[in-house]
Amino acid sequence: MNQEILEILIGKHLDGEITPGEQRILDVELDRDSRAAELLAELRDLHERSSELVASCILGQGTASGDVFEQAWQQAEHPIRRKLKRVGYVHVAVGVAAGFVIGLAVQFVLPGVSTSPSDLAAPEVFAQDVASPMELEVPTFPEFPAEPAGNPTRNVDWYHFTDRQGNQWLVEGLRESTVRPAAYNPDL
Amino acid sequence: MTVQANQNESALVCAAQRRDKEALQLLLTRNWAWLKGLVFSIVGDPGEVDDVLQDICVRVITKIDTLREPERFRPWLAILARRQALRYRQQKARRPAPLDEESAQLQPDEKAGEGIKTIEQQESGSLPDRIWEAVQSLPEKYRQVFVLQHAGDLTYAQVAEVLDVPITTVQIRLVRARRMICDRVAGRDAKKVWEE
Repeated sequence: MNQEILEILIGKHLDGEITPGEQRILDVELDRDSRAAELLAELRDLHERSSELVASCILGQGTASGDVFEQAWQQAEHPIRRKLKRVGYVHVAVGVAAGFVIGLAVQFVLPGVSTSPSDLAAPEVFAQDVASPMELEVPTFPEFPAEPAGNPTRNVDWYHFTDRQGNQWLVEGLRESTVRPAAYNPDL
Repeated sequence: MTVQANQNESALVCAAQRRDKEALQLLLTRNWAWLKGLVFSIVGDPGEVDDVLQDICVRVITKIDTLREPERFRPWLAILARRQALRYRQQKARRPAPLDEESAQLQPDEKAGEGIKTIEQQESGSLPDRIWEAVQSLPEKYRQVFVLQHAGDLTYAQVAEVLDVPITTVQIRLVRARRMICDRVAGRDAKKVWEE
């Protein structure tokens, strides 16, 4: 009999998977060949020792199944904890700290070097609604030619503020730089 | 008997899908031994098995309602467990090695000395120690079959179901695993014919 077939039969015998027909074949072989009997003894010894080792080194180690399940149940019920565990508490703490530092930098450093939005939207036309003059540089405003049909179309924004003397100002900010009657563009 | 057990398991799965905590716990406890064996055979370190098992339990709890065929719970659990264990192993491999391990890697002479000592210890170690060493040194596919068979008290058909391989493959891998262990314990060279 082929060595591997013999070992399969012995393995099935040891694992309780052998059929009656296979058992008869194995018995005949064991009677006929003493080396087969030695092999059976060797493999039986290995089988028993392996079962004991697996029981003690794997199954006998670690936390009880009930405790592991209970922890898992708690974890599944609290997905945030689960995410924290996956990402790692240290990583989360580092991320929060980094965000805090960046936030502080934006708060205290950037205003000193940036341009405020009000500068960008500087008004082009001023109209004072009180008599008291204010020393302001009055820019020269571009004069747009009127449309042939009548008045020019102007898009404006309105701003309102009070100066140091308490004068109230209504500022008209033209958006003529972006909207302009195309018919009067000299480049066309 | 097996049919009745399967019916019971299917009923438990249906209850678990309705968020029955006891049913879920019973399902996992019944399959705990082979599950532990499977995870060990992939992760390789008994100390890390519990972490992976907890992750597997969380996955089962959160994903049990996606199982369409309750009678296929065991193969479904095996796939989920294998993926989780492999993911754990990959993450572990990507983690930087501790400083003492790195320094050990940088000193091959000293390491070689330690290696010789280990072999001496192995030769003078007790028989159970040598068998255990041999089990741990098995190629993964043989180790899986061997540990599952011994840990889970599963039939060949159930091992085949868990590993998603034919029963004959289970038989052959078991025979070869035993042969490799015997050879290693006896100090013989593993035969090349054991390659499938």
